[in-house]
Amino acid sequence: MSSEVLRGIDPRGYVSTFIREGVYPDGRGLLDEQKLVFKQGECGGVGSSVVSTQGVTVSCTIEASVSLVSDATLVDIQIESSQQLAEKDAEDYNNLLLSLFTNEHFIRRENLRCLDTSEKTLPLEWQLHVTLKVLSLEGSLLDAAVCAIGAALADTKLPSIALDHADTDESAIEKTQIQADYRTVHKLSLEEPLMCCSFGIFVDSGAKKNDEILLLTPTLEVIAVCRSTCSVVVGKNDLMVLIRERGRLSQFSLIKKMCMITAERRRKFVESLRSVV
Amino acid sequence: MAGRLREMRCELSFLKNADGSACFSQGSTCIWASCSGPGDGHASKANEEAMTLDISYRANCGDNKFSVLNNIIQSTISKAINLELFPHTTIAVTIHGIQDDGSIGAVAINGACFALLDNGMPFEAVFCGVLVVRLKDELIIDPTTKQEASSTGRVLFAVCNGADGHPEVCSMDAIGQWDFNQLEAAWSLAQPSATAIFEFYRSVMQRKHSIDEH
Repeated sequence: MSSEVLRGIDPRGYVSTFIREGVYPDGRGLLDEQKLVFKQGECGGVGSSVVSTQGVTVSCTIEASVSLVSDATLVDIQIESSQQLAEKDAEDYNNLLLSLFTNEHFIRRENLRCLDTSEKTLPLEWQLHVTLKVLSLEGSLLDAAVCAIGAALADTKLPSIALDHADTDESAIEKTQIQADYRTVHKLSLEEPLMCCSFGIFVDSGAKKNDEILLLTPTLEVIAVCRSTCSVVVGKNDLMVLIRERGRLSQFSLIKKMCMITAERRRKFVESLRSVV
Repeated sequence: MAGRLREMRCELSFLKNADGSACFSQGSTCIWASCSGPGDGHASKANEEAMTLDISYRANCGDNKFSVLNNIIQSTISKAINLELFPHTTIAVTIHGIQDDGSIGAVAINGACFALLDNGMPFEAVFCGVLVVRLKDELIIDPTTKQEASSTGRVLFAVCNGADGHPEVCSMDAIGQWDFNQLEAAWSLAQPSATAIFEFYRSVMQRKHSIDEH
């Protein structure tokens, strides 16, 4: 039977034939990493990046505005919905990424205070508006989005603020008293960069033992026949900061392996970011 | 580790216009869940091969267009029910948060399951929700709002029974800094709680059907 016919009528059988040999249909090993390419400073704003990995290309642009110190959220994220990404899915990813900011895994709130030319903190805060555009979507969006935000934040340069308002003056700060001084720029003081990897767990029902096989960054075709999928975000000290698992998972110990693989990939990403800076 | 679930209460079929409904509470956290279908749905959402799930969690205030809980509830139900049994149909599950005193995600998952059970949906595996939080290096199950707000990490498990009868993870959302040992400890804490919730399901359904027999 032609392989294309098998692929159409029995996708699970087609994929399991390759997985039994330890490879994906495209020849990649089951735990081989996909190349990740990133470029900073190409998309405008105070910081930006473009990240391309496993068939997904995402651009991230950060705009900044000054606000008075308050309890309001300082970061808002918008993933622009497109034909490739439904509004419901875009909103879901928005909430996920925003939770990483809310829990201060990208940047602490106190590091968003405005600084003057002598690096003294002012009673003003930066509000960041993060916009993600999906340029192509042939895999997991979360992997590329987390890297794109990290790279864009590392690229962000904010001007100093000149505040013409005395410390002892109890009146409200007026807009006219705030001036941006682009002669001195500051980089953000960030937390350790994050890395996200997506995994699939495949169970070969045709095999003698129904073991769960771990797959790193499976393609959409393979995800469709996986028993479950899991996205793991790893941060400082190789700790997992976010896990999203969907589907039945009987071997809980697979999560440890996922964490180790993601941590290793994160180390390489951090080295690359530091070499660029 | 603190592994005690708050008292659970459930009233089934309390909404006359829904095919299945449940008023479920754990401690002071209470939700209403309703389930209508399988039935005709909008042509644009029709799926020739499987039932379409329309899941909506609505808090008692704020914008309810999207909720972070919709994704985990939808994923859990899609694994627990064989959707291919009902092609070209839609089932709508709506969960309203009536009062939130912590663990609203877990309570919403339990309420959704009760509504589906009340509707008579054929399950491949019954599921339940358990929330575990880390508070000052201690793991607490089914936390209150105050405990949740002070926590440094949260894991929401959707649990179902595996082929061997032991609980297994059906979906999981974790946020906060976790190493694997802590996560495994949270899962160990969640399993007996899930077993207790399944026992509660059994007792509620036995009570419902014994009343129907009269």
